[in-house]
Amino acid sequence: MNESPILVQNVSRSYDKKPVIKNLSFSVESGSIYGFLGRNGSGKTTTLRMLVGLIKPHAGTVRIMGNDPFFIGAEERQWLGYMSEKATIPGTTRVGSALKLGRDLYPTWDPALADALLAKYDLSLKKRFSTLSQGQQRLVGFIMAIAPRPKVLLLDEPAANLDVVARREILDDILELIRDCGCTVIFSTHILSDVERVADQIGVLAQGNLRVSESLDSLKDSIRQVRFFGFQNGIPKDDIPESFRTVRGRDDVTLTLRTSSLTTPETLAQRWACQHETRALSLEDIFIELSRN
Amino acid sequence: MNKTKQFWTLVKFQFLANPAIWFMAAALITPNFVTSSMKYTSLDLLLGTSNLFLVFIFGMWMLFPEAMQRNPAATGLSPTEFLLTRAVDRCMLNRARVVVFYVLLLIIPIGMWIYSFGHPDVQVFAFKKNEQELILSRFPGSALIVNEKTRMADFVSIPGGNSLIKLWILSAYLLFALSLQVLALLVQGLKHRSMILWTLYIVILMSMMGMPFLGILANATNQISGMESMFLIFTAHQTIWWLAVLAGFVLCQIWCERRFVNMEQ
Repeated sequence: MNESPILVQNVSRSYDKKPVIKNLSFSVESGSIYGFLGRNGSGKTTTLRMLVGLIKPHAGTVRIMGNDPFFIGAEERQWLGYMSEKATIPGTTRVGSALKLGRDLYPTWDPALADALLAKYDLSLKKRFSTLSQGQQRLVGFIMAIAPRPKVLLLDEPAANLDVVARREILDDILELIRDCGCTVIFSTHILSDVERVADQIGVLAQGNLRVSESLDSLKDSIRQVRFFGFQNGIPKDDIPESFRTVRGRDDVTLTLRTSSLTTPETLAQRWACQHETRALSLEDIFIELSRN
Repeated sequence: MNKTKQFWTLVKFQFLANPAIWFMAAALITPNFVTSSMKYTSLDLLLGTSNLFLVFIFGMWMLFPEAMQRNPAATGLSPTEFLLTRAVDRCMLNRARVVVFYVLLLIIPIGMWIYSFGHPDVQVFAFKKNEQELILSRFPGSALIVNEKTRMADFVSIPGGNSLIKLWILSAYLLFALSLQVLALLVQGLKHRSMILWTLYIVILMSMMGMPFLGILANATNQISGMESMFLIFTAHQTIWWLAVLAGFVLCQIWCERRFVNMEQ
């Protein structure tokens, strides 16, 4: 049986006894792009740090290409590309030294790809990191992550601090990499247009819980906002556990529901003796609905 | 990838990552060579070295940049997160760091020791009778020097004493570095690790500044200071001392590597 290259099962993780990730489970199929959405502090970076083996889960299992990432060695890491959300390369290091480190450590390092990307992003090998803008530092980080042509690529907020052109170019490069070598990518972001552009699958993380994990099309098709109004017996007080979000107005109730959920808008309207109207949501609306406390 | 190549790649990267630290090491070693006089007013002062706080600075920069700085990438020599997420073995990263750390650290005392071959003897002020007797009995060839003006014998010459003192300092650097390595790995997982390490740094700095007072205190009470006693034990049992230091170093490295490999970042 072929295991998914990225597998997260029932993972929980806390910091100082405060739960950050709660019973998280998802997998990413080979050759696909998984967009990991969530607000700041929702647990995206913690999840990626577990996937790259910087920290261990307190419960559950994390697997990259079938291995526990915390214990993999240089051999297995050759297939794992990672770009951190923060600047991790010393400011005094020259771009050329960082790339040389990559070239020396990875037998699969593609110098032509690295050179092409350097030229494309107009980066000089002689510059030190401290003299680069935050966006340029991220671009070097991105080159370091993809030039070894990894099989699994983990990108933590790759487009943060980038101008719109560089952001678009990075996304194009990710797509090209997948076309070339069938790389599996997971990238975290809160920029929805990036996700819509490249992701096959989407996971929305809110307060450490994975609210949804499915394909973009399926997500857009299956989540609806339903407004109930014209109640004959007053506003109902009962909770609907299947609703992602419930907003009670003065004379209406709005629920965010899955169309496939057992409690359909029709049965609810019948139970509450009211009328209802259904509205399709954009990805941004869905994200906001799922992410709000 | 070949482990040896991986090791040297990491060593090379860390050596080149922050060239400023080499200038700093050079700047700090230079004053140790400038003194031409081999006549000192206190053995206590000779045995202590204010440069011990460098062990702490180098140690933190090299081994635990994340523990001391909010943005380790800004000044850190060996960024853990960046290197651990490349195609490296955790144990190789630890070894490469330790090598760079000890090379940086030991350049100073080894340089001082080699320099002392040119000026191996030393004359130290020792006015206490018991101190003079102890030195004369422990160091073959040592002799009292009579002051022509005062007609008093208050200096003792120790043949090869300068080299011995430099070796003592070298062992002090090593023992201090080993203690630091263990301590820093012990506090690494703690929430207030930065605060603990900064407090320790200040305590070390204050101790260095307070060291001369211990000698003054010992003089006032007409006793041999603790530092002098330790030095005499060191000179009497050098082989055992160095074997113990070596064994401690090896055991410490084994323990530290195991802990580092299983440590979260």
